[in-house]
Amino acid sequence: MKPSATPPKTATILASSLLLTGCDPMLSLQGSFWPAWIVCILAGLAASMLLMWQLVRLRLAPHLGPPLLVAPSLWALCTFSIWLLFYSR
Amino acid sequence: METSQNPDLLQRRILIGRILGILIVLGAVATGSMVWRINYQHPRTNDAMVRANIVGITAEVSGRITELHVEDNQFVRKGELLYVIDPRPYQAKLDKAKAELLLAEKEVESRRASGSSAQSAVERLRHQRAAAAAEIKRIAAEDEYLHHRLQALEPLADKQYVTGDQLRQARSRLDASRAELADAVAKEQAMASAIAEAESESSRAQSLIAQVGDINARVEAAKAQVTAAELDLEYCFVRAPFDAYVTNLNTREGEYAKVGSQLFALVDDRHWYAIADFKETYLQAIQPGQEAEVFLVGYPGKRFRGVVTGIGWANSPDNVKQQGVLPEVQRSLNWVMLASRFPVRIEILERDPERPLRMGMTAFVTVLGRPAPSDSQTAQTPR
Repeated sequence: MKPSATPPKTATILASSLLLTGCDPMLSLQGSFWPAWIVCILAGLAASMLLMWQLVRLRLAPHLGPPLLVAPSLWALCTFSIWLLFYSR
Repeated sequence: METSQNPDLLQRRILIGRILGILIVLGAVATGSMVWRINYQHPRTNDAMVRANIVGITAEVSGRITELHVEDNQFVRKGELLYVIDPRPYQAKLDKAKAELLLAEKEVESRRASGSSAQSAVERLRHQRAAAAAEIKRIAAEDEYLHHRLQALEPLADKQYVTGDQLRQARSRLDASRAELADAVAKEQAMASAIAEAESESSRAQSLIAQVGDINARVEAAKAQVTAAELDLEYCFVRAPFDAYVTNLNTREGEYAKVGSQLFALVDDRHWYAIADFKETYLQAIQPGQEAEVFLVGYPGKRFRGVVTGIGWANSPDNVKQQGVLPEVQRSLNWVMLASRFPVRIEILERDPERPLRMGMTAFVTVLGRPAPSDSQTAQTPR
């Protein structure tokens, strides 16, 4: 397994991309404007992957429950949390 | 092997895993419902644009543009001179109208004088008629005396107390008196018809003066001509009706401006709006007077305060099309319907000189549930 340098790097990129957009409800990429929910879904996916990876590392993943329910729920939780944190106001 | 080594640790992992699993599912449901609630309470849309009121600047008189004092995209203050249409023909028209007013005043004066002379002629004729009537009375009295005298003389003549000559003389004097009476009556009648003629002449003269109460129609008509000419001259100097930005100015001096032709447009700088198209499902949560936040993609990180001023009352309905006189009805099988959108007008109250607003900018609008503070009802002007 590769050393855990990748996740912090991903997290930094993710955090900086979120902070760059600030609380703006849109992400501007070369004149195209992306709505907040797309940003949240993508960031939520990344965050849930990161969390799941941590849960796997801590050997908690097999005990969480049915993966078909828990994995999408984790993604949804991350997505909604990010939205509430950055875009609710 | 871990199971055999640390059964307690495994049990703890299972417990923590179960709790975490339940928390994840419950958290997803809870945050999801919070997001849904916030979205409904504070409707937001990215289908919004900045706009202002646009006024086309139109020439009200025709003529060549001799001066153009503005450039495209320039800011102009209310009352500032925008352009000048050659005023010389309109100045000449004004001078002519003023001269015509003087003429009308003089004409009315002269007509008044002739009217009063016609009136005095009527008076004179009336006096003459009164004199004629008196003359008729005098002659009638004399005629009656002569008639009685003749009647007295006739029996005396039969008895030879008066001569035949005296009787003839009396008869001839009576005849002469009758003729004089007829002449006097004819003269009085002629006088009456002369009075009627003079009166109609006098009333014609009065009508020609065209005086109604304190107003003289001729003078008023001439004054109206002067006012119209003054207005035309004023229209040659076109001024800004409000603080605005000049836009779409693509012409210069020498252009011939026709009445009704728009030369350029002014963007009203007094009020700026964001027109946000909200889905009909959110309209219940939007009320005029509510505070709103307007975010412009051109100015990241800056939010402008605004207030909802109204929601559109009419949209062109999708299902009503007409071909000729009959409605055109499409055969369709629509299972998924899309919500209609209605334009919600939000006045942008906050202004930033560093970040000027431009019509057509893409905006993102969030309507906050609370009413806008009363002090923010008046727009802050950037200048």
